[in-house]
Amino acid sequence: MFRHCTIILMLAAIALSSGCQRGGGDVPDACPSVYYWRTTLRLDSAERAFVRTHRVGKMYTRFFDVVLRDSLPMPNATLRFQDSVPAGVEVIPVVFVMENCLRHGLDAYAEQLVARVAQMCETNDLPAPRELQLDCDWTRNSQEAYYRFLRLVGEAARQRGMRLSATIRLHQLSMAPPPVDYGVLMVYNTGDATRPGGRRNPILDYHDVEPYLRHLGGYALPLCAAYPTYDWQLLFGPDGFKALLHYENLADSTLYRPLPGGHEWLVVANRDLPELSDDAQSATWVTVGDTVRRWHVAQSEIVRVGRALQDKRPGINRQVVVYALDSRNIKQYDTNDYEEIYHP
Amino acid sequence: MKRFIILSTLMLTMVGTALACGPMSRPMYYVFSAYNRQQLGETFTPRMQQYWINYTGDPDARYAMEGLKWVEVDEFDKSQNPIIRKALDSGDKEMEDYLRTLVSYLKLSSDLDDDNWAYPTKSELKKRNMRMQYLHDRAKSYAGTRLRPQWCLMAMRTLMGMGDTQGIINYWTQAEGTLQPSVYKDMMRNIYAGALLRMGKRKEACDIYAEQGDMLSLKWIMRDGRNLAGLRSEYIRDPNAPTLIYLVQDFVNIGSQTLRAQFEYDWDNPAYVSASQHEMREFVAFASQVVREGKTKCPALWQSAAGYLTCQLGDTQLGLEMLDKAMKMNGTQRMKDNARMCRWVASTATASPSKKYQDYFLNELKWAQTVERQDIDQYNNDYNSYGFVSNHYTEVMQNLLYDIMPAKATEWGNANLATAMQGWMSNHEFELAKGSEDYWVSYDYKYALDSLTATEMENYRDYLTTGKGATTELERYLNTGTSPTMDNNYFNDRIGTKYIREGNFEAAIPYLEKVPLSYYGTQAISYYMARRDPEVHRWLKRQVVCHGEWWGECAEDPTPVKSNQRLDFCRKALQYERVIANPAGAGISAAEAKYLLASLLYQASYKGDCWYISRYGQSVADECCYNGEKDFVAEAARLLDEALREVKGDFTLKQDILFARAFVPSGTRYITRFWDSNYNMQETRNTASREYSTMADLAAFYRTNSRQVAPYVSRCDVLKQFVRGSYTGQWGEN
Repeated sequence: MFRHCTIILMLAAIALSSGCQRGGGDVPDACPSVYYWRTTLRLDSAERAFVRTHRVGKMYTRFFDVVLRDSLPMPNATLRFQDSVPAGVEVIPVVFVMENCLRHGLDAYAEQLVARVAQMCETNDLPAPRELQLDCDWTRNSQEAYYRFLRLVGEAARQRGMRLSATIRLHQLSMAPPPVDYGVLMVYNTGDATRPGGRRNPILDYHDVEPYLRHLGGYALPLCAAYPTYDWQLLFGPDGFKALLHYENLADSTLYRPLPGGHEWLVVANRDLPELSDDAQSATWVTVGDTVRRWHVAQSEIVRVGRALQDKRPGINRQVVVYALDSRNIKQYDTNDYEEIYHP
Repeated sequence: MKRFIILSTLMLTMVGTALACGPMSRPMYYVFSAYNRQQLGETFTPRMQQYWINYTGDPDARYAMEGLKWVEVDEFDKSQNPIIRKALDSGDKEMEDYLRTLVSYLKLSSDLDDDNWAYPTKSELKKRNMRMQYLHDRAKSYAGTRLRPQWCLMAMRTLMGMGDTQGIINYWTQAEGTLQPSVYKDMMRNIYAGALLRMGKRKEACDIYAEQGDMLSLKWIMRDGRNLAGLRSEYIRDPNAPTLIYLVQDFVNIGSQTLRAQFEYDWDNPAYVSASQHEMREFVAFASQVVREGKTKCPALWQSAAGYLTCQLGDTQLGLEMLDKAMKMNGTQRMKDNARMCRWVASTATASPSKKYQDYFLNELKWAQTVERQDIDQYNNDYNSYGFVSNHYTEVMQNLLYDIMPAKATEWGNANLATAMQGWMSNHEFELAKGSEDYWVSYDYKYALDSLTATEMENYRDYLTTGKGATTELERYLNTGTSPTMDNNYFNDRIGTKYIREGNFEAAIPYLEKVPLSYYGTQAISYYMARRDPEVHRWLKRQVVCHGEWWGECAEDPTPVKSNQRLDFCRKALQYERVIANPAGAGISAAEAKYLLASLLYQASYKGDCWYISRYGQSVADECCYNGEKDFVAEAARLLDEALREVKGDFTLKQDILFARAFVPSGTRYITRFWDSNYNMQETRNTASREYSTMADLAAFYRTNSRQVAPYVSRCDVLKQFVRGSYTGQWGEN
C-alpha cells in the first residue's frame, strides 16, 4: 500500500512539476516581495508594518543606476543606507542600466558592477547577497549587447555566490529570454502616459497587456510578476503633456479644482512647484487652465490581469512583487486588497 | 571683443539692421519685491569670490576659487592656482596653512561622492572619518584672529562631513557670538540651518533661509505652505518671522499672475475665478488685520501687499490709497521702495492723458531710475563688478514703457507718445548697457518704428525733431531720451521705404533722393544691395550671396553700394505703371509692363531676393504685412493674371507669364500639411487651388508646345513632377 501511494505521489509530483516548468520553471525561494525604488533606504512605520503584515520575504532594492557621464558608464544616484532592513527580509540588489550605456563599453564594467554591489552590502552591514538583479529597457537593437553584458555579469556574480535575475518588460516577451536565472515581469507602465485624453490607464490596463499574453506560456525562463500599486499625477497644458507631478496635494483648493468624473483637476492658479533634483533651480510650472490627470489602478484590475497571466502561465504568481514599497502607495488599498494582489 | 560685438550690433540695430525680429516676448515681471534681487539665488559665492579677489588683487581669482578643488594635495607647492601662488609667493604662512587644509578638505569631500565605481569599504569610511576628524581638530586648534572665520567654517564643514548634526548645532551655538559678520559666518549659519532642518526644526531653519535670502531652500521647504493658511500659521508662530517676507511676496506675485492668467484665459466659469479671488480677498483682510494688530515690525510689507492685491482685484482707488499709506509705514527701505513701485505700476490702471497723471508718471520714472542706479551700483560695489546688472527696477520699467503704457497712449490716440515711450526705454537700456560685458537688447522700439505707416512716421519725425504735438512735460522728457542716431538720413530713408511698402512710389522718391549712398553703405542690408539686381526675374534665377541668409547665419558686412536701389526701384516701377496706364508709344505692351512690374514687386517682397527694397531684415518667419504694407506677392500674382489675359500672339511673353504665375506662391495652396492627434503628418490636396491651377496652365502650355518651349520650361524639374503627378507643392516658397 505504502509503495503504491509513493508511486502515485511521485507521478503527481512529476505531473505538477512538468506543469510548472512549462515555459521555464519557478523562481527560486518564491515569497511575497516588494520593490524599493528610492535613493535613501529608510522605512517608516507604515512601510515596516506592511512588510510584517504581508510577510514580505524579499525586498528588491535599487542600489544604483548606471548612466553615461562624460561618455563613460558610471554609477549614479547610489542608495544611501540610513536605516536597517526589517528582520527576515532578504535584500536583493537591483541595478538599473541605462540602455545607451550598452553602446559605450559597458562590458568592461561587469565585474566592477558586481563588486560594487557586494561592497555596498558589506559596508552597510547587509548579508552577502545571494542574488543580483539588472533592470534595463533593452530593445531589439540593443538586445545582443545587453545579453552579452548579462553573461559577463552572471559569471562575475556566480563567482561571488550570487544568481542573476532580470526585469522583463511586456514588449520584451516577444524576444528570446535573457541569459539569467529568472525574470520579473514588469506588469506596469503598459500605456503611453503622455497622451492627453487617453482613456486607458497608462499604469496598467488589461487591454494593453492582453496582446502580450500569447508569448507568456512559451517564454523559456522562470518568471514571476510585479504589479503596480503607485499612482500618477500627470500635468497637461495646451500643448500636451508637461510633467509628472510628485505627490501633489490635489485637495489644495487654492490651486486645483476637481472636474466631473473625479479623475481630473483643473489648475486654477499659477505656481512654480520646486523639483527635488540636482538643479535646485528647476521647477515645474502649473498654470491656469492646465489639467492634472490622476491615474490609479483599481485593485480589481490588478487582480484581473494577475489571473489572466496565471491562466496563460500557471505559477507566475507564486511570487508577486509589489512596485513599490512606499507609505504613500500603501494607503491606496487595504490589507485584504493587498493579500489578493499577492495571491490573485 | 565680446563687448565690441554687442555694441556694434546694437548700433546697427539703431541704424537699421538686417535681422528681422519682432518684439521680444517679455513676461510681466513680478512687481512685488521686498528682497533685493542680489539676495536671491547665488547667496554666498560672489562674496567668497570677492574675498579672494581682494586677497590676490586679481579679478580672475573668482575662477581660481573654484579651481581649488582640483588642486592635488601632493602638488600644492607646485600649484599655479593664483590664490595658492599668492600665499606661497608672499610668504603668507598663515594663509598657506589654511589653504593646505582647505585643499585637503575639498579633496576629501569629493572622495565622499558615492557615485564612483569604487564604493568605500568600512575601513576606508573609518579612515575618511578619521581624516575628517583630523581636519576638524586642525580647524579648532587655530588660535589666531585673522583667519578665524575661515577656520570656524572649516570646523562646521568637517562636522557636516562626519554627519554630526548635533555637533554642528553645538559648535554654532558656541561660535556664533564670537564672530564678526562675514560671508564665512553666514555660510556657517546656513549649515546650522540645514542641521536644524535635519533635527526636525523646520520653522527655525526656514527663518534663517529667509533672512539669508536662500530662496531655493526656502521654496522647497515651504512648498506646502505657500498659501493663506501657511501665512496665518507662520504669523501665529512669530509675527516677525523672516519667512513671512518670503511668503507674503510669493503670495502677492503668484496671486497677481493668477489673476492675469485667468483674465487672459477669459474663463467663463466664475466659480474658479471667484474661488481664487476669494482667497486673495481673505489675504487682504488678514494683512490689514496684521497691520492693525501692531505686532509686526514691518507694516509697510503687509500694507503694500494688501494695497497691491486690492488694486489687482479691481478696486484701484482704494488700493492706491492703501499703497500711499504703506510708503509711510515702518519697514526696510526696500519695502518702502517696493510700496512706491507697486503704486506706480498699479496706477496705470487709471492712467489718463491728463497733465496731473503724466506729471506723476514722470516723477516716478525719474525716481525709478535713481533706485535702479542704486541697485546696480550696490551690486557692482559689493562684487567689484561693473556695467549693467539685471535688476528688478529695470524689468518693471520695461513692462511699463514697452508694454503697459504704450497701449494706454494708443488708446488715447497719441501714437507718438506710445512710440516715444518705447524709444526712451530702448535708449535707456542702451545707456545702462554701456561698459557691460553682456546684456540683452529689446527689439520693441525697432518693431514699433517698423509698424508705423509712412504718414505716422512723418508725424513721429516732427514730434521728435520739432516737438510738434509734444505738449506735456513727460513727452518732452521722453523725446530728449530717445535715440540720438535718428538723424535726417534715418528719417528720409525710413519714410521713403514705408512709402515703397505702401506702393506709393511717387511719394517715396523725394525722400529717397535725399539719402546719400554712404548712408546705405553703413547698413547691414548693403551687403545684399551691393550684390543683387532687382531686375533679375526671381523665377529664372536665384541670386545667392550667402547660404543661410534666411536663418540669420550670414556675416552681412556693410558694403559700399553703387546706387540707391530703393530709389531706382521706385523710378522703374513708376515707369511700368505709366505704361500700364497708357501703353501708346511706350515701346512695350501693357501685358509686358505688367509682367515686368510683377517681377520687380516680387523681388521687393519679403519672398524676393531683394527684400531689402521694402524691409530692413529677413527671416524664414517673415510674412506679410506690416501696418499699411501692400502685399507685393499678391500684387505680382494679380498683375500676372491680367498680363496673361491681355497677352496676344507673343509666345515668349506668354511662356514667361505662365512660368511666373506658376512660381509665385500666392492664393490657395495645392497641398496642406498638418499633424494629427497622433503626431503623424497628414496632407490634403486641393486641385481647385490657385497653385494647382497655375501649374496646370503651365503644363497644358508645355504639352501643346513641347517642341517650342524654352529650356527653362522644358527642363524644369518641378514642372516634370507635376506632369508625372508627383508634385509635392510649395514651388516658389523660400
